[in-house]
Amino acid sequence: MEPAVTTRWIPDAVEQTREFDDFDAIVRLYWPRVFRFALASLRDRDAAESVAQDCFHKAYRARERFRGDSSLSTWLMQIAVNLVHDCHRNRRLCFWNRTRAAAPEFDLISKSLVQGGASPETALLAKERIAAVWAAVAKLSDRQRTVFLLRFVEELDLLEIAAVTGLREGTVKVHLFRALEAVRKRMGENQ
Amino acid sequence: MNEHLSPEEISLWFAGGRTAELERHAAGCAECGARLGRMDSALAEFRESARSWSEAQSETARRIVWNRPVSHMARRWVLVAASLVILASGPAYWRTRQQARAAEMAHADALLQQVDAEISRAVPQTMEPLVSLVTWGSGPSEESQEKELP
Ligand SMILES: [Zn+2]
Repeated sequence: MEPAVTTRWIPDAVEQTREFDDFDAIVRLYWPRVFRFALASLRDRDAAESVAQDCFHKAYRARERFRGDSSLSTWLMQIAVNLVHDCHRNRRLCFWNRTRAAAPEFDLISKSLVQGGASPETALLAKERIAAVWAAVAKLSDRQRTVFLLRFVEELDLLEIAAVTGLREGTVKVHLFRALEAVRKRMGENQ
Repeated sequence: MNEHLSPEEISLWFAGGRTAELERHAAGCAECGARLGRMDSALAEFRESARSWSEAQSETARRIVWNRPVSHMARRWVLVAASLVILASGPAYWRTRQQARAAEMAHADALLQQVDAEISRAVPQTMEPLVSLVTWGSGPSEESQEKELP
């Protein structure tokens, strides 16, 4: 009962071309993923936009060094992960992040669940579960959070996460296990 | 395996550590199936929340102003081009400057001449019409006037 892997939104053809000629097209294609990962990690829109912008600037400057050892998506996510880690490491810069940390719009989420046919009670329970997961994620270590978001939001498999983070697959699994333990406990799933 | 999945085994399941033994038990145990289902739903809902939140927040980011950084080569070319423009426009600049200076000098000369003329005037320019009425040249000739003198 692993989470179903939905269709990847990045077309394989584009993934394979690895063309840097039309870098603007690359930005348009990958910006949502990079921005989403940064937003979920930092919970601040301005910081997430800044990370996304920096990510593509770095990629553009280093585009000649990209050899295609990994996919373009993996390469961009490596840069994004490092930028997010830099941001977390720089406590002074991140102070405002933590104080201004935004929360996902849970009301919007429960409304969309009700519109999707769920009863208000079901939507309320779902909203509480989602809030519990976000609360648990906020308390994770940087590495655990990164691995958790890459697995359960970006739906990367363990090997892809290893490639993005530079960790060994076994280490990824350990971080993921600890993150899941924290989430499960927060949800009250202790039996 | 007859025992239910432990809480840690539930986490292990989602961390990529599901074994054939765990799968066998989950397939035949409604209770463990439900526990795994709740965790799976929570993770799917979390994913959806992250995605919809990101989409809502990126409304402004959709109007991405992607400023392509200027490469070192491009920067070098810009500098070279700017230098060439300066060099090429140098003589023209000096020519224009000389022409402007000549025009200035001519203007200054004209002014000086005008000042000279003003200074050398016996009568202020404003009084010239009055003077012309009584000027010797405009009336009867000096010669005839002299003749009338006793
Ligand atoms: Zn069981």
